[in-house]
Amino acid sequence: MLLKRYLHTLPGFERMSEAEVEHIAAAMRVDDYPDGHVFVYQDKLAKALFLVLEGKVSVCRYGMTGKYYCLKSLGPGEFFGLLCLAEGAPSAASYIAAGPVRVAQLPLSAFMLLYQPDSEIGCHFQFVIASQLARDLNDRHRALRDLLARIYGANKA
Amino acid sequence: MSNEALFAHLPELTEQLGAEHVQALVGRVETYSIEPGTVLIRDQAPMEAFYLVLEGTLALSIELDGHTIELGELRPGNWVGEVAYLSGSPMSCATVTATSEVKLARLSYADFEAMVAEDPIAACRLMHGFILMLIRRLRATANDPVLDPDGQLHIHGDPSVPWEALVQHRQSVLAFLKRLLGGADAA
Repeated sequence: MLLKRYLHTLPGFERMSEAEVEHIAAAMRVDDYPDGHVFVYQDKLAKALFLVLEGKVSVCRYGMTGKYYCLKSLGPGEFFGLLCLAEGAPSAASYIAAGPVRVAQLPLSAFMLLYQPDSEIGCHFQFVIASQLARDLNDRHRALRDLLARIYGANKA
Repeated sequence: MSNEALFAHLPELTEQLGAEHVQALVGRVETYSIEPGTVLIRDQAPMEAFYLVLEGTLALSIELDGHTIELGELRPGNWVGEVAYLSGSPMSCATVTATSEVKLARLSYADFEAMVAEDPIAACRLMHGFILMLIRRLRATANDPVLDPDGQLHIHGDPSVPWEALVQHRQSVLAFLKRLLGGADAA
């Protein structure tokens, strides 16, 4: 898989020029990881932005009551680590490989250069970040509707 | 009367977007008021616009078959409609209800696209604000819902970003590094 070509297919990247996508692809490193590899620990900082290329990554956390549960599973084309990097705050969940995975990562230094809204590439990158965060929030709200369905036996969303 | 609310908050919008870029937004929005109790948006309804809260507060909730989880309130400076636009699924992800008289500015998705073409920096700075709001709402909804004494499910956490936080000057790379590495808050 050519990373540059793959990035072009992702939400938010359609606004980028060929050169911009090439810059981002060139700054990313692709690696394979085994089942159980922890990319980011809950309450710790992420040091890179990650993109799932193949396989699945589980998003799990300890809730307020201390119970450990998995919120969702990320698949190809989904970014994670965004909240930490965009906010400079610890992760709200752990991100763990669920089986062998192939992940591309954009180092912190490259992310910081991109996350500058006044450059053209930075401006376009904002759309990429915002698109992923919006999908994450949509998923979270869907999970809350599922919770309502389980509690009240209502028709699932 | 509604335009008064928009102009009353022109300083914040100018601070957020820049003096040379604020007109791109102000020239495209339409302003109006809604009464307390009015449902602005129903959960999972089709969406065609962003709404900026100028004055008043809006309650967010998840709904399913008449059951709800309360998510908190949105206050002035915050937008709704960004999830539907950005997620690629143009349906509302929550019910939004006025809890007071609310003054709003409405920006259609079509007008936002026109703004992107005409003044990409204005759109980009607006997008930066959307990112901050999305992050806040994600953090707030990471908590588990709890049942209050009235039997209502709700989530502890404030989904609203203060307008002052949205108009902060964008931080230097050094300040960002300090914060990321656990240093004192640096603006």
